[in-house]
Amino acid sequence: MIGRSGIVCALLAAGLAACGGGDEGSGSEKGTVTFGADTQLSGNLQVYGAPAVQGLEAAAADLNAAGGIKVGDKTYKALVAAEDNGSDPSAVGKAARAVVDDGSIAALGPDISAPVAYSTWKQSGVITFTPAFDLQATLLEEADANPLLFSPVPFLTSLFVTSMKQTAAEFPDIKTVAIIAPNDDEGQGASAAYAAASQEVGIEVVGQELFAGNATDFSPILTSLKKKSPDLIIALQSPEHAVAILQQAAQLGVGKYGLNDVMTPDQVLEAQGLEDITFIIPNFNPTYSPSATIPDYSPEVIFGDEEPAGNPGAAVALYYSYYVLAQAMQEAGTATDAEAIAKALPGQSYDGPFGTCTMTEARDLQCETLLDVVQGDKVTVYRFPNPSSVDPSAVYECRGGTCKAR
Amino acid sequence: MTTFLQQTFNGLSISAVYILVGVGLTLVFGVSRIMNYAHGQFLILGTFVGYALVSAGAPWWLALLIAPLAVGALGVVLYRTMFQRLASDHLATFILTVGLGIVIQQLIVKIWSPEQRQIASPLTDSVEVGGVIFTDARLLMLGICIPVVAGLIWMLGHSDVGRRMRATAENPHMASLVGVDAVRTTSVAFLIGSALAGLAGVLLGILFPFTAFGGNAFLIKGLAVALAGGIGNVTGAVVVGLTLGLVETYGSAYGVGPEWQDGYAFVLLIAILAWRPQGVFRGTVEV
Repeated sequence: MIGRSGIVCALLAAGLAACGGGDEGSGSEKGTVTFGADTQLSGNLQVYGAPAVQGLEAAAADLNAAGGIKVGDKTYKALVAAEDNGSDPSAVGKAARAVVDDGSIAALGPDISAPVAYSTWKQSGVITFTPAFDLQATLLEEADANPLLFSPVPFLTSLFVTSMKQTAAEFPDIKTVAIIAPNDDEGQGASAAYAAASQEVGIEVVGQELFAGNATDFSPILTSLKKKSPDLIIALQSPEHAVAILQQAAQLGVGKYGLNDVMTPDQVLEAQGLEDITFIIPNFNPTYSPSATIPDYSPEVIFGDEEPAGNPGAAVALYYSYYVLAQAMQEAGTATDAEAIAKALPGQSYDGPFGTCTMTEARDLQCETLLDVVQGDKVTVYRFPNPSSVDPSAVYECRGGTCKAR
Repeated sequence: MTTFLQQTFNGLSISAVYILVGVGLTLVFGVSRIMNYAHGQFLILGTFVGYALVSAGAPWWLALLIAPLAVGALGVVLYRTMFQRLASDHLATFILTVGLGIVIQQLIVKIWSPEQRQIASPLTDSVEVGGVIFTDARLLMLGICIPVVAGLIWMLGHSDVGRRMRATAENPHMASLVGVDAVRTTSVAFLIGSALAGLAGVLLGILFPFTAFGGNAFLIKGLAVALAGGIGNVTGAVVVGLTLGLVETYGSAYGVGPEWQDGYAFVLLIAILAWRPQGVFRGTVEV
C-alpha cells in the first residue's frame, strides 16, 4: 500500500517530469530537440513537403539510434514535429504557430507564403530552413538582419545559372528557349531567374509565359510559342505541370528539349509521350531515383526499401540539415540558444549516405549536384562536385536501374 | 490562320470536358434540386478508376465504359443513402457534398498516392491537315462527347425516362401523383450525371497527367457552365460549355496572357449573369 508521502512524491515526480518535458536534460537524463516543419503534407504540394519530413524523420531516427544528440554532458532525443499547411497559403500562419508551440528550436519553412511562417519564427527565435525563392532572396540581401535564416539547398538563382551552363555545355545545339511557369511567387521568380541565366550563357529567350496554377491544357500557350521555334522548353515547378506541358509540346512539335528541376528520371520514364524529347533534370543536391542510382550512394539509409515519393532530393536536403544542426549544437554547447546554434551552423559538414554536404558561410547547404538527362529509355547522370561546377566529376549511363560510369 | 485553326481545335476539345461536367451537374440539380459539390471529385475518381483498370491490364476502351458506370453507381448509392433525405436542406447538402469531395480526395490519395498518374493508351499519334495537328486523344474527346450529349438530349426529349425526369424537375409532387417514381427517376439522373463526370475524367486522364487534387477546378468550371446555361437546362450547358472552352483558349492565346485563363471564364460567367441572371436559357430540365 502506498502511503500519503508516497503519493506526494509521485505527484512531485510527475510535476517535475512535466516541467522538464521540453528541452534541457541533465546528466544521464534525456531532453529533447525538436526540428519542426510547417510544410505541405497534404494537398497539391505534398510532393515537396512529405519527402522533406521523411528526410527529417530518417535523420532523427539515425541520430537517436546513435545515442541521441550529445551536447556537453547532456543527451537529447531528436524529434520531428511536422505541421501540415495543406498546401493552403491561408493555413501557413497557424501551422507556423503550432511549430513554435511544439517547442521547435529549428524548422523547415513552407514552399508557399514562406515570409508568413518566417515572421512568426523570427519573433520566437526559431532557426528557419527555407526552400522558398523569396526568403532565399531575403537571406542573400539582408543576411545580417536575419541571423536565424538558412537554406537547406544552394541558392537557386546561382544554381539556375550553373544548370544552364551545364545544359549549354552538353547540348550546344540549344540556341533558343521558352520558359513556362505557374503564375505564383515561386513560378515568377524562377522564370525570371532562368531567363537571366539563359541569357548569361548565350541562349536566346523567345518566350516567357505564365499559367494559372490549376491549368491542364497548355496547347494555347504552346501553339503560340510554336511560331518562335524554341529549341528548349523549360517547364517549371510541379511534375504534373511539366509532364503535361512537355507531352503537349511533343504532340504539337514544339521544342526538342525539355527541362524541369523537380522531377525524377523515374517520373519521366513512366510518363507517356515524352520519348522523342530529350529531358534535362538539374538536381540541386544529391538525390535518389531507382532508375538511376549512383553506385556510391546509400539511399536505403533515408528511403529504406520503399520507392521514394514526391521529390526525393527534398528528403536528402533535410536529412543533412538535421545532422548539421545537431553538429552546430554540439559545437555551440547548447541545444536551446538559437542564436548560438545559428552562429555555429556555417562551416558544419556532414559525410552521410549521399556524400558530404556543408553549410556555407553564406548559409546555404551545399552538396554535390547531379544533372540527369533522359533520352528514350536511357538515363545519363552527370555528377558535379559542387553547385557551381560545370565540369562533371563523373558521368554514368543508366538502363533498367543499373548505372555504369562512362 | 493555321495557328488560329489549331487554337480552335484545341479549344473545342477542352470544351468537350466542360460540357460533360456542366451537363452532369445541371441534370442532377434540375431533377433533384441538389447541387453536388463533390462532382469535381467524381471526375477525378473516374480518372483514377480508369487508371486502375488500365494498369491492371484492361484495354483503355473498356476503362472508358467501366469507369463512368462505376462513378455513376457511386452517385446513385450516395443519393439513395444520403442526399435523398437531405434534399430539401440546402445547407446540409452543401456541407455533405463538400465534405464528401474532401473524403473522396483523401481516399484517392490513400489508395493511389498524391503522385501524378496518366492512363496509358495507344492514342499518342496525330494527324496533320494543312498545318493543323489533330491529336488522337483530342479527336477521341470530341468523338465521344458529341454523340453522348446528343443522345442525352434525345433521351430527355423523346424517351419515357426523359419525360419522367422533366416531370420530376417541374414538380416532383405532381409527378408522383401521376405515377412517376420520383426517387427512381432522380436516381437515374444521378446515375447519368455522375457517369458523365466519370467519363470526362477518363477522357482527361488519357489526354493529360492528373493528380487527386484537380477536381475543384473542374467543379468550378462545371458550376459556371450550369449556372450560365440556365440551371437545369442541358442545351444551355452545351452552349455555354462550348463557349467557355473557346473563350479560354482564345483568351490565353490572344488576350492578356494564359495566366488569366480562369479569369476569362469568370468574366464570361459574370457577363452572362449580369445580362440574364437566370442564365442564357430557361431553367429546369429542358432540352
